[in-house]
Amino acid sequence: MRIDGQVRELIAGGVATIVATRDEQLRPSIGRGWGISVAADGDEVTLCVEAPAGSRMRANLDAGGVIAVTCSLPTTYRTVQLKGRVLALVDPDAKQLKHVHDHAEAFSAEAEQVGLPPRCGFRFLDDGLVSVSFAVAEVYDQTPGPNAGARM
Amino acid sequence: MTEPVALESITACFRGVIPSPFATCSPDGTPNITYMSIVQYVDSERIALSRQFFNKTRANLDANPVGQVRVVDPDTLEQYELDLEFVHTETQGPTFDAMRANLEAIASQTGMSAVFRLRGVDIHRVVRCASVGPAANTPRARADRDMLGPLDEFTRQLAVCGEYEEAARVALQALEDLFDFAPSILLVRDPVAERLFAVASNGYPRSGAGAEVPVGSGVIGTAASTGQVICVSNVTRSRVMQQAVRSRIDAAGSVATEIALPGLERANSVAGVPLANRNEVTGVLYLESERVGRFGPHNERLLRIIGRHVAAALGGLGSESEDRTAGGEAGAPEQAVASGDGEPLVVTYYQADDSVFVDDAYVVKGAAGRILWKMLREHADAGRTTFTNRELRLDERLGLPAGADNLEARLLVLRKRLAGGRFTIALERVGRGRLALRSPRPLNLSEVPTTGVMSAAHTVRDA
Repeated sequence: MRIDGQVRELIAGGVATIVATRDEQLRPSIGRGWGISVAADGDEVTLCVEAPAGSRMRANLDAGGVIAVTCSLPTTYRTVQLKGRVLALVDPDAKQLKHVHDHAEAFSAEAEQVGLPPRCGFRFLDDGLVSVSFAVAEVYDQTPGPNAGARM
Repeated sequence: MTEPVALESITACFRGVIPSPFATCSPDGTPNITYMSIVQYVDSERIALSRQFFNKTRANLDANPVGQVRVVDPDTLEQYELDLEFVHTETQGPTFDAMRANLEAIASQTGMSAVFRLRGVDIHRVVRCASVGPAANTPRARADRDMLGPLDEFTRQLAVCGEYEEAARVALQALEDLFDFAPSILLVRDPVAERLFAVASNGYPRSGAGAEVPVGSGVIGTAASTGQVICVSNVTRSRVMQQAVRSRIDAAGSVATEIALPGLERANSVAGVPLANRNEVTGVLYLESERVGRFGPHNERLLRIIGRHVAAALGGLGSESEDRTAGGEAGAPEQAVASGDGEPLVVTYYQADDSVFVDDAYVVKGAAGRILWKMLREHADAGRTTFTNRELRLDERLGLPAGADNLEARLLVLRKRLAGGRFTIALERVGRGRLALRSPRPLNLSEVPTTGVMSAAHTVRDA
């Protein structure tokens, strides 16, 4: 599955990024994602996920399996959901952390326009971040409305 | 592992200021995320989620009835994750009705009621609630401000009001002074036309008296039609959400026109409070704030109490006691007085909507228009200048519904519209239940008959 130009453009902006995984009992867990990037060929995505040591999210990621990621632009509600299998889990490097910082800036600017306090992205930003790469298998249009959930 | 958190300690998260992601999982192990516009506190063990569009979530819950939702306190930005077990879906009852009224009010404000129809309310049991994220901690117990004191003072201030206009003014001022609820507009329901008209306002540069809103539409109209307090905690977010959906629908079909909210250009939170008296909604109190999250579930109960009290206070003023003290026989004409000199004032009355224009400038319409026209005609024909509330109330040609005529509210609108001399004609109170009409120039009246559906009504009234 390749990510096209429009989706690539959307997720490069100040999107609210939410990650979901699940455990063996199929209980879902939610975490925030930051600094998403799409590989040049468009079928692999890497992002930093709030997954502190000892958390259910961390255990789920360690176990591999399927990850879901929604990216939603606060000022337009344009939303996509990506799903795929986890490929790799590493500590974020300096370049990624810079990308996380830039993303938090962009998200804060977006969120402020819909009534959230200034620089709120940094107040959501956790230091228990782990860099996750996954192979994109499915992309859904998740913009609210009767067609939400349609496969792209 | 963080300590469990009691749901009642995080009710600020359920104001609907910040959307809440909700995750479920399919039987094959694929997680799915959707955003919830409303996560509602039900009791210490349960929450309710609105069910509108989310098809994948529905299928997942049917097969695997567990989920997790993340909520954010809009004041502190502290985050909480709630592990949920789906219990059942409700399609009626108080939780459903309140949520439906709120969603539909917001939707109809942007002409999208059909799209945002609430299909059900999913009740979930909260099996775990924990603080997460960088600010993870146990929430501070935030004592709600004791409202009994301000309510006591509010009811006291209204209790000493002897007249409708005074009570309306005092109520809106007290809302600002005691609760910091301003600006505000008081609207009264016209049960015949099924419209609400503004009779008083506080905190706006212009009075807005006479402005009308249809019953059943938008925040104000839905508060009137459902009798529910309607709160929009984050107007901008709701509008963006509606626009997103609208952009997806416009291509497929037309949607109704957006209704502008009255008042502030930058209202970030609004509330429509029904004024319920004797099992009837007699009007709506409309509140606006520039502060996000100002109105929401946290003050719905207070707003309900205020609405009921204002309705009772206004409902008890004006009619019988005022009429008795007005003196004189009903409709007894006093000594005729000729209008003043000068160029005649051209006054036109349109039967079609009972609108009155002075020198081509719109004054008022509806029942207030009929009242003004009656007084102007009798002033021109017989030189009458004073009129009593009682004769207006008993004049069948005015078509005021018996027992629910809102006469005081209509006269208030009329007096405010004519105030300041902008239409030359003046209408003043000259004692309880008594009005004086003054026109410094002679009147040149003309009535434009209607040939439309309203012509029969005029034939009956004028017979």
